Amino acid sequence: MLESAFIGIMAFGWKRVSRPMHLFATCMVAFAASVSAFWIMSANGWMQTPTGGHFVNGIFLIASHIDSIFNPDAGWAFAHMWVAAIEITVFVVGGVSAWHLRRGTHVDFFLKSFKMAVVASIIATPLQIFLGDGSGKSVYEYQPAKLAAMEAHWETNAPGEGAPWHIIAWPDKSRRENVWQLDVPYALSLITTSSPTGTVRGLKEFPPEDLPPIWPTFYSFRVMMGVGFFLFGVMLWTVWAWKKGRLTVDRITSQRTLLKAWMTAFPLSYIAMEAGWITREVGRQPWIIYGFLRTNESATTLPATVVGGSLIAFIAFYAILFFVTVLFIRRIILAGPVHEAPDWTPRTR
Amino acid sequence: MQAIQPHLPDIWLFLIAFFLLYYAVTDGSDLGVGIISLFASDETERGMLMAAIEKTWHANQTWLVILGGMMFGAFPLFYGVVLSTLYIPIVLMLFGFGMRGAAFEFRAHSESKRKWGLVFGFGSLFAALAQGFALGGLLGGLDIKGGAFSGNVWAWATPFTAFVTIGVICGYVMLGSNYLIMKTLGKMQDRSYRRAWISSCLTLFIAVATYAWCLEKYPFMSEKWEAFPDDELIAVFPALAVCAFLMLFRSLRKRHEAAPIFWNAAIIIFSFAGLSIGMHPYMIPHVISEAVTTNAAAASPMTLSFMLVVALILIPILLLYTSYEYWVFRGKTMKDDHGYEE
Repeated sequence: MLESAFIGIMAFGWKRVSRPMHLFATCMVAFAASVSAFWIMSANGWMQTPTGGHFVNGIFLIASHIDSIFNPDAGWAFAHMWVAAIEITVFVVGGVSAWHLRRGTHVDFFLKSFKMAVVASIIATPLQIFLGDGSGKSVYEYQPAKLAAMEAHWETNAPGEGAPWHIIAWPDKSRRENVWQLDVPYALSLITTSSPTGTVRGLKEFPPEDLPPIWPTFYSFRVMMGVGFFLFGVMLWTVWAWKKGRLTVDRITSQRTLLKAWMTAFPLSYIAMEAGWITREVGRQPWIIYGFLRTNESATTLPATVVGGSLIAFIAFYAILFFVTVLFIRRIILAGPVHEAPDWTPRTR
Repeated sequence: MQAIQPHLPDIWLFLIAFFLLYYAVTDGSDLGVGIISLFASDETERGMLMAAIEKTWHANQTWLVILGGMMFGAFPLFYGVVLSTLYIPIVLMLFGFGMRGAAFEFRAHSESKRKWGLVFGFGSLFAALAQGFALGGLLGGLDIKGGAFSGNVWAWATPFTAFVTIGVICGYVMLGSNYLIMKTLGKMQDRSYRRAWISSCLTLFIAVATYAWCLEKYPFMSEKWEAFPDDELIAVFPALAVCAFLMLFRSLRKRHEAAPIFWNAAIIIFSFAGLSIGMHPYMIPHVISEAVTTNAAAASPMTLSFMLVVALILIPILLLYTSYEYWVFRGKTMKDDHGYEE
């Protein structure tokens, strides 16, 4: 709500409010968006780690709203998602800048925005890897079945032995094992417990009806993580290039591969976020409220045809919206900046 | 907190009603302008109409999200039953909102302004129709058995609902016209005066007919009238609503600029209050099985009081900056009003 009121002033109010007021409105939009993100992630976190009350006859009785809001998952989830949003913005700005720099259009302008993106990525990319690690440890603690599915880890490792980390694997739910796998020994124990021989509970410890689908959980997690490290690598590469003095108006346009990497990072950053959400939500299955309420028990009593019909309509609507949005965003990017220089002083005509 | 505990459901009912009305007046004007835009003579006029609401429609629409949150928190049973029973109108409304929001952004960047202008107009019309269906369904009594959804997703689709929907459309066109009287000049303002006359006469007729129909159908409502004049509460708001209509007609005749929208808002508030007092304590009037009453549908007192504390802190802040936003964008809409220097 805060966001929608101030975004009006931010977008249309330049001539109507003073400059400090406009800056304030912009800050309020950023602040309000962050607050929204917190509440969304707090609610979703509660579905992962429900705390602050207990279930009586299928009704959740709240004992403490504070405990519910600040449930164990909420902090990690909010931080991880908030930085993900920042990281996407960084690579969208950087990717668009890189595209113009490669074409040699508006070089002055886009070199500036490119460098801003690079500076932001120095903070965002390693921070996100750290937060991802923390989120993973939270899953290990509170949702062991989800963690086992994320890693296609079937057998609990014996004391004194380390659990390996599968780079890729072919999990088979009916045979309750991986058909084949490519391992890094001890790595899973090390990542989750900070000890090379820490115990990581395997999928076989849980009743089959309590297990999430393994394939999407396992691979979406790898896609997210892979992109996360790719973005981190792009950042390191660019910082190195900057140090070598290649990020200048004369030399930047010839950094073809580096700029191409930034352009690739633009869509990849979105894919990483979507993949992360698939890990999070598919991995939570079969629960809608983890450990208490199953997804199929919470389904609506509306006729399936009505719900299915509206789902198809939503998919069609958003597919069209996505297509048109891409077209218009492409047009806006092609047009380049409206102002040659980011000079916001009112001009006298 | 102890003293107000028994009244918590009523306090929340009042808060929700307040924001429902706030939403109906502000976004009702936006939807009305959207419907009017379907009759725009050319793209310049349509652009002007869209520019008149461009800055505030988004904030106005967001009140619906707040309403949904309040309803979900304070009256979860009501929320669950209503959203299931009115699933089709609500989905239609969401598509309408989606079309309206997308059209605003895309029209600005598109070369075929006409196409996106129509998407905007039809989006507004769909959302208004859907709200009419929902209101008709609620007033007409939904098919609810034992406080649960019965499975009939078309229960709202009755001739009465169709009649109420026409009323909602007329009401929104009236709001939109009165809003445009305030925001425009010249030929567009003249047209808005004419539209305001026609739509307000139609709205008055449909509102009176709807009220009479409810009296006929719901004995608990007519009983309150039988107690009149000993208990005059039931008559106060209908009388005020009629007065507000008269004041609206007077301000239109005198060609006032800001008064019509003010009296229009008063009409909405008084009519709604009159109807609610007639219905109280029923939230969904019910003929098939027992009614869902305010108290039975409410959440636990702990949740209600927790929400109340939060709401009492946040609502003044919300209203403060929303008023500021309106203040920033006050005055007439100009053709070249794009906000940024170009």
